[in-house]
Amino acid sequence: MNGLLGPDPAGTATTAVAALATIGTWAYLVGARRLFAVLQLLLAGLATGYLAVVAVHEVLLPRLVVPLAERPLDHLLLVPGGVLVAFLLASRWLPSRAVALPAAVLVGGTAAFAFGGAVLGTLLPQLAAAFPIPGSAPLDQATAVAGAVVTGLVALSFVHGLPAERRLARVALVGRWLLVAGIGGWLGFLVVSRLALVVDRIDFVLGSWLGLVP
Amino acid sequence: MRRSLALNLLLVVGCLLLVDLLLVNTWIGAFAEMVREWIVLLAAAAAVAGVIALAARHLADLRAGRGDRIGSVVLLLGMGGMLVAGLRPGAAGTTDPAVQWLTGALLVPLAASVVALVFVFLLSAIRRSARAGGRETAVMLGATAAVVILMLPIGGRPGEVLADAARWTLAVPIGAVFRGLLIGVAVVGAVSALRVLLASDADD
Amino acid sequence: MTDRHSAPRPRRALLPLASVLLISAALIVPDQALSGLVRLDDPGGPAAGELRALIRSLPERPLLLVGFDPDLGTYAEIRPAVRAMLDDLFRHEARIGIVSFSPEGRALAVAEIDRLRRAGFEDDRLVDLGYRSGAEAGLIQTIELVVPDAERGLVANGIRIAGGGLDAFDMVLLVGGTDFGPRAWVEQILPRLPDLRLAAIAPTVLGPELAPYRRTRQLIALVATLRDNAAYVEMVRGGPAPPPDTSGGDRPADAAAMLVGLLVTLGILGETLLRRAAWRQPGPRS
Repeated sequence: MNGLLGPDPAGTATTAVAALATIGTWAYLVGARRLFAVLQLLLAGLATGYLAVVAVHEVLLPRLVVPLAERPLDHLLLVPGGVLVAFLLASRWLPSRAVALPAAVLVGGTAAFAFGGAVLGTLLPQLAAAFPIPGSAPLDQATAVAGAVVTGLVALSFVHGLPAERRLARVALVGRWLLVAGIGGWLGFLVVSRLALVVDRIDFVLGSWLGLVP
Repeated sequence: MRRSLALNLLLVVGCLLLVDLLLVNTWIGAFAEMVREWIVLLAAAAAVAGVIALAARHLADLRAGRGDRIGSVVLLLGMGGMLVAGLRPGAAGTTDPAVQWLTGALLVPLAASVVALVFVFLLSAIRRSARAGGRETAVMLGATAAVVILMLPIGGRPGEVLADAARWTLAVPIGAVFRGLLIGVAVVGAVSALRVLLASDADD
Repeated sequence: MTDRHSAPRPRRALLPLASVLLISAALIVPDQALSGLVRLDDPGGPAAGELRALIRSLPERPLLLVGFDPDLGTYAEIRPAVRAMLDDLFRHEARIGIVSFSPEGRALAVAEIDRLRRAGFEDDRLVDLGYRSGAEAGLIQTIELVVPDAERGLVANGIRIAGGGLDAFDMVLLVGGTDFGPRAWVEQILPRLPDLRLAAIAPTVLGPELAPYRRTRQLIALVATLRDNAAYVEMVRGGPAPPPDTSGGDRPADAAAMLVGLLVTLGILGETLLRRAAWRQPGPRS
């Protein structure tokens, strides 16, 4: 039992619906692509509906509509935000110059967060970690040096394909091969991860629903 | 080239948030918090706008009699059902029992089943690659096979050896590659973000 | 009604169906029959022990934030470990706030909070901190304020008394997903709150991406492979004084079934590599 559904009769009935949804999706494997497509559209409808519920009920209503409706003078700074929200919601009917304003706030914010996070949160700490720790055991230092070489080569592989001096291009090529191998390794982790989900789904149908798994 | 109002707003928003990250200043912090609140609201509004656009498109398809009509009806029923469950008068939103039922009975199992099917699609893609791709594909598949071997859940001493090797592989070679990847992606990401802020690619 | 889309040729459907049948058969075989032959957890691995030790090192009645953002599709892989962690935290008298920054995470958080409430954890132990949109913007806002105004329970008030923001918490535990995960916390929060302690449980697919952040100690603990997840569950549930199990017996993926699936995968990989080699060999010259 995955525990999302209670053990009571209502939960048991819901388990049956969930199991049938699983079987219906996996009917793709025996050629029932029409059923698969219909269930995917059901998934899309439910997911987008949920997106709207969470956006309206947990964000727009309590943080915009209610404060402006109940105490507008205490929330004057929300007014421009409210205008931008209105522009975005009415984007189908407004000229592009009006819709560009809320889009600019979103894009500007995203770019700023991306830049700051990339430099301060990832780039600088990872560059520092690429070097061996002074005073550590010789084997650890050797491993760290080898790791730093690999890290440097892979980072340089990002210039592969760009106009570059020949030696740099060769180094980038080596880094690219290492990157390909690393991605292959990651693919192995992906396979394991997805297989665990397959096992869980089968366990749910055979165990939680049909009671066949000891 | 004159920048539009939107591009200028983009630059101001971006610079304000970056300065707020670097400096501690009451006024800058207050303005940055205001902008963050707008972004939170706009993100929610963008989600709603997307849902409206999707619904409008499928309704238009149904009216015009084009596309997959049954599919459109099913999508709209799913969307409508969730919206009614969560937003009807008196509903509790995401914590409403009706929403929780739809989530537990349909949303989660459907999503989990599709993602689990990726395992089958991966196997199919691997088989199809027998006649596609160059040496890079062979290197990639070889690395995949090596990791899969290391992840075999075997008991006893052989299993311990595999587990130790898998741990070392993740920490050292794969860790080093992904550190390089993170550094490269961070540099590319930072440069791209700067280009967006400066709108050096924008058509006015 | 005829299927407008052509069905896959019967041969192509054989392999996936055979895989599913073999995995099903492995699931039905009782664990005792394969005792010692298969094992999913990694008892020698440090990751699970680090997380366990971290939780045990917390002060009395700690205040903890769980950043709950798994994916709908991949949550099943880490669900047993996440539930074991929550049970272990409650056994340590922890007061827990759960917040989400992705809609999928919110859907699963609501289900887990409901499950915990049915198990008897009320407002003196658990508070639902809701959903924050805007991804990074919403996340950064929680530095100053993480409790919604409407929340009035004991845990909510405890968070307010301790400051109301992220530094009110003794630790932040992250349940990761591909949409919004530990990496966002590391990149956006740690530059602003470098002393905040972050630990994470994540699916295997995120392991390679998050391992570098463990190396830099930006994540002070990371359980992000199937083996480590299974080891952590075994450590919590199989230890000398396990906490009450509120998960209904939720356990990691069956080891025998995983072994069967991985052997099928290896077979396909091997066959593909051999066929590639055969196809690329030059033919006989005339």
